[in-house]
Amino acid sequence: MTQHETYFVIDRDLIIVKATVTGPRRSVTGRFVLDTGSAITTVVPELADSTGYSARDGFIRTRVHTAIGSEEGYGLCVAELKALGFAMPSFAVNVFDLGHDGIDGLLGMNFLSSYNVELRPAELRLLVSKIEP
Amino acid sequence: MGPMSAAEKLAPAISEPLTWAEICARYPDEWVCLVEIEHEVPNGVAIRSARVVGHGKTRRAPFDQVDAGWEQYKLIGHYFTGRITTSSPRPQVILDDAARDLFRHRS
Repeated sequence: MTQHETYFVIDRDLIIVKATVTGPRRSVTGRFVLDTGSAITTVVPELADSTGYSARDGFIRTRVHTAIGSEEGYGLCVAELKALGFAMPSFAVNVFDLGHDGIDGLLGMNFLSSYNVELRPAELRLLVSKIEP
Repeated sequence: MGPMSAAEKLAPAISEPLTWAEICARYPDEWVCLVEIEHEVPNGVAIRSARVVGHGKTRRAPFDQVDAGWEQYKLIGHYFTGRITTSSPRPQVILDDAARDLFRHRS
């Protein structure tokens, strides 16, 4: 069983990890919130655009509730999402403008549910192993 | 010397290798695009040093500068030098069961 050790930072009580999105043009690494309360991994449009995707590549339109109302996003299958030391090829994300500075996305349960994740806040460290099928 | 192209006007010079503290001091509360990133530890978030190829007040501004002059870099970092501005960034995504299955089955 492969286990990776990865490190995070805490900002505004949020757990921030590094994640890399790969598209047809390039790979972009950003800061993502590790969010077990989020069903779907979210990426901001600017990051998706920079990797070479656009809304035309989306496989579904999504609707997102925010403080100011309801806005549209889209589902996108990126070539690869890498986080916590593991790469997921052909991975589905929701592209949506989170509207807040400082983060590029949310690492949600459609990524996390493939792994056992041990959170060690005192050490700012995560131990992550892939769940074998 | 002829007039500068649009790309030359837009693309900043690449910086020398800077520590994260130096990047934050030089571009406070800005988004930056970084290349040749050295992290403090493997798989960590903290940056030991990097070179800046774009910066600006919006998320998109540094990407525009990368597109204008630094296409040769196939891996770039996109970071904000300030603090997160909210403690609750999570949107409520409205999905019916069919749409939820689409995300699950593609992941």
